[in-house]
Amino acid sequence: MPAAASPSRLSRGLWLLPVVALLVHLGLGLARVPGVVFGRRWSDIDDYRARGAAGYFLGGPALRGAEVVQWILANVPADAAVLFRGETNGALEFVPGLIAPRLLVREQAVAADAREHRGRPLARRTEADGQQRPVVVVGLVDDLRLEVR
Amino acid sequence: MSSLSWAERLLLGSLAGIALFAVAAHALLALSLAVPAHLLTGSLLLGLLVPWRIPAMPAAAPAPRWLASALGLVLVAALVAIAHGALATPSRHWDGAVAWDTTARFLVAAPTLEQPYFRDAAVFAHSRDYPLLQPLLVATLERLCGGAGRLLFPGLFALLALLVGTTLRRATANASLAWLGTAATMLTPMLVNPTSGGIDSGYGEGFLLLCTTAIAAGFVQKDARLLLLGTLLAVLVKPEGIVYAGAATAVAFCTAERRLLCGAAAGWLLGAVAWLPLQRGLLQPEAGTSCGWFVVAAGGIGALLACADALARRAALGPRGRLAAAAVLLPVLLLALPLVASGVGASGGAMQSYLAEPGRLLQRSARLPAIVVGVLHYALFRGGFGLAYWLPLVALFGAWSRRASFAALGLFVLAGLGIVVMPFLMGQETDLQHQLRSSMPRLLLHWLGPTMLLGVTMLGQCRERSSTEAQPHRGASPEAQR
Repeated sequence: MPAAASPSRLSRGLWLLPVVALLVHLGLGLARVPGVVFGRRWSDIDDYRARGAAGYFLGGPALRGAEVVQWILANVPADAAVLFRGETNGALEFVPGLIAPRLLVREQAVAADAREHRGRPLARRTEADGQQRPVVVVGLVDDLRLEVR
Repeated sequence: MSSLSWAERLLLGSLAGIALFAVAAHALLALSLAVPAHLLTGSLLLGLLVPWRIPAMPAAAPAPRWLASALGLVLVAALVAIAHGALATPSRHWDGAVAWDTTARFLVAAPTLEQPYFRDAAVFAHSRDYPLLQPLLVATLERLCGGAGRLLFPGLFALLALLVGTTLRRATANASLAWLGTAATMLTPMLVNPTSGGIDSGYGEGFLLLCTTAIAAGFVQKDARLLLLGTLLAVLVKPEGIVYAGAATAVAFCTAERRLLCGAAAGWLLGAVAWLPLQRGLLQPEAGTSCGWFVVAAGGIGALLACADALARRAALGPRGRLAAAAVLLPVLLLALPLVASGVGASGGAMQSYLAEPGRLLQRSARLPAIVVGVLHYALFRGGFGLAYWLPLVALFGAWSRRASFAALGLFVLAGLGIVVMPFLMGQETDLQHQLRSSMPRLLLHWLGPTMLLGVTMLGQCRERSSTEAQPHRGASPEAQR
């Protein structure tokens, strides 16, 4: 009949438990290196480059509004201020970074007939009647809309 | 890892250089001046040229060559992936893109706060009150390295690896264990995966992890310099940092070692005096950036700590007495500075929003079991942290001899996990499950380094004890063995 393990042998054996935990942890990390650390990172980078920053963040099913950002980038000078209103959580959060160095300025802080904000011209759009009017980006949580003031 | 003094010098020099840059840059910003790019070059050079005193490394058999080579190669591969992830595009994750990158972008164009993005309350600036050190470093590197500002992130990864590796080598006196522990820490999925909060995601979590790990390494190595640098940088990296640094100071008080207490408190209070006036100026430009109230508050807290330490010495308080005294001091240490910041006009910030309605703490106490289950779920059962949080728990089975070297670190980790619960009790968010999902993995990432250091240090001590117990058997006479 085998002898029962002595307490000292038991205590010697117990330090192997954290060794096993450490090795399993390391193994889990190593296993993810090819597929996730490299694979998924490379795939994210390719996706970002293919869709551009606006499309990457605001061109999916969860958040929309990439076309609003692209319109601003194409039509608004870099030193301009762009008005905004609506929900600041969600899609609108991405706009300041995507349109920088243009500034996103709260509509209520700018007088109704103003053409500039602290020396920066307001972003404007020419309407069907030939008039140029300031544009306002409206935050809708999961989308953006471009309106005229 | 046979001769690591160069690595420890590089580590201390880099951290000190970053800290020097941080303090000088914050002073310039408070004076409404621009931060010159070569301030970083000069600070790093100065930090690296200081002849740091490095204690002799405990003797240990070298790790097998194959082990060191294989794990070193994997770490270099991970570093390459992170460097590519950081440099190939701007941030590809939410907070990185909306807050951190945007702040850095405006600082690249003009490295000063005297511009509408920071000073005009009508301008939409996400997380306006967030600490500026990381965007400042990215912007400065961007100007120095021709657009490669996000080199910061692989740099932080490399510093973290050096910190974990050298600390484990010292704490365990076992080169193989140091290599295994370092690789295991650095390959933890939540840190290296391309995910929100990951090291190259652009978030501040990786930098804050470096700070908490430096604090933990300071406790393990009883090195006041690491404690000072860790607490100072933590305050300047993320809003949570000021609370973590306060907790580190409380733990340093428990160690009864005056130099550790001085190191932790000095870094924490200096960081607060450098950052809080700027934060107030960002939230309320009309309030200005005068630091008078913050100097008074920091001086008061410093005096309180000095008195408490002197009284504890006079009463010859043991570890339990100090722990009880620290428990009394803890609310003051954690909340005093954010409360002063709110009191002098910096309301509306992320940290202050938690303090806006103290009654929430009682109203939401019924949530506590669900929050604790959430912490355990994300720490132990989700893949993001592998077995990192299991390791100290499992090591406890084998660690009969409680050594002071990990008592302080264990206390720091426990304090950290306690703090992790607080945002869920005090925050404005009402949907607990959503808050757990979006915040818990990132909050737990802050404590990955201290937890891994704790787990592997305990493991090393279990092994040491096991070897000691085995000695009489090996050394016994042949007669006795028969």
